Amino acid sequence: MRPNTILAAAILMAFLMLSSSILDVHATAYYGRDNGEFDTCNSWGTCRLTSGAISAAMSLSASMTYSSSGKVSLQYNPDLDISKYEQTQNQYGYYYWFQTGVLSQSSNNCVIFTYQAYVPHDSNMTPSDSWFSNSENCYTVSGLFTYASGTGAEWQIQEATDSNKYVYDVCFDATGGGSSGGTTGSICIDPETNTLNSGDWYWLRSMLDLAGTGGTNAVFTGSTAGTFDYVGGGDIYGKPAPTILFGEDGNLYYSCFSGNGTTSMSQSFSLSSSTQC
Amino acid sequence: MKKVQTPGRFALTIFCLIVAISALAVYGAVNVLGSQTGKPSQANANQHSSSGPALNSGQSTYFFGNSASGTSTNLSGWQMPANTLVSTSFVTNHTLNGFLSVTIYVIPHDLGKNTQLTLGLYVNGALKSTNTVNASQSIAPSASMLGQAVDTSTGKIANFSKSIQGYQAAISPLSSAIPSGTTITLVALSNSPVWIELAQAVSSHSYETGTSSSLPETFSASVSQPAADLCIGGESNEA
Repeated sequence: MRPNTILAAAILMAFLMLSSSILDVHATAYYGRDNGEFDTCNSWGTCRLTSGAISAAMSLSASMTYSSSGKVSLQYNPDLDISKYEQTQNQYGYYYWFQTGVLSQSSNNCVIFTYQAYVPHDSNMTPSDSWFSNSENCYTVSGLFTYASGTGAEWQIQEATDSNKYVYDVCFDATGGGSSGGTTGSICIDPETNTLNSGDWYWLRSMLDLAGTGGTNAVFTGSTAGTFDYVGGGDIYGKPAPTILFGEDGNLYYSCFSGNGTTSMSQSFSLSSSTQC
Repeated sequence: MKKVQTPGRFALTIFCLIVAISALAVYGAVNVLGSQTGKPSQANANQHSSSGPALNSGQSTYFFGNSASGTSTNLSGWQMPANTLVSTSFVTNHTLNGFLSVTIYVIPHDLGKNTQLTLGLYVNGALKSTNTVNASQSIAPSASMLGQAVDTSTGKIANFSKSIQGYQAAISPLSSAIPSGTTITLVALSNSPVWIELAQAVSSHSYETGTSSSLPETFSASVSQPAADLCIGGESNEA
């Protein structure tokens, strides 16, 4: 082989190594028990939601039980990685991370709704803004973790944006399963409260997740299973799981999305690995 | 013609090694840089990286205010008159850190097309933050009145189906901690009558403090008459 050919081959190999490392930088599938994300476009990155709303709801097809202590959560979390580039920033130029969640405890059928905004740059990770429904006093909902008589408990979070693509209203509700399930009714909060940046947070590509709270993972047990339903005014697209997860996780498996690219998308979850996408 | 000298095999091998090592170095740098700037790499995409913020379940939050019952099957509301300053004050018993927000709960019933609600947050009587919202744009389902409104000494009171819309006035971030013993006041003002959720666990009473079309820069409840006790919730970080 001529020396020039060897040299050209070496340079070509080096180029191929570089290009593969630079271009192939994002997950293309689900990993383990991480759920996928949902967005308003099918392209790489995110498309902010303009003047619309996307509701994400959990409904049980089998009663939920867990062995971890305290509360478990249904989290509606924007992609942390994308938030670094797309979310509003505080006065020091550090990005916010805005999340919403349903906090529930089975021992007393207690449910609390919350939004929380963090500046992940801060090492102490205390919220820079937050809201808890009814000052953290529980709403007691009969059947909050129950599936019975063909009816499963439902927990729902709906986020709405204005024409500037900012989240201007978040509505929550929880309804118990079974024939005598209770309900919180609809409880909404306008999170535009931050005086320095007008209190505005963009809706970004998000993930729904059943997890623990306060940095503790949830350990679901028994036959815990159900469905996530995503409903929007426009089409919703499923995307791979995020590469940076959150402060808590759970041990559920999530299926692939059905209805991908339509106004109503869904997926199932359970403790069986056969559910995994 | 000068003969072009070809490199020796040893020199060529060394050169190829340098190219390969350089490529590997750049490969590593790209991955390290990617992880430091948040650009995900395929390597860490395969890991469960739980480095994001935790969802606080309330342990580190200081709450104050008047709360509603969590066991009722319906809501009770008070009709706040138009162009009337309605205030609720609380004296904190904890240092406030990070942020301060105070929430009032509107019952979305018969709001009309352009109900403007203005909130003022006062710290020891000085206006620190305002928030004006169009309550008519709420996505909360309309609440149905259950039965008839009742006239009381403080105005109209009625029961409703369960649907509420919270609005806040806030200071975020706080430029400095607010010491315990500080008086925090939320003043609400609306351009048309609006139903406000009543409190069932009351630590402070609410008052009508005169008619106005705007919020005063300083607030004093020296001239006031009792209103119904409103569900008003405050939050801050404990530390």
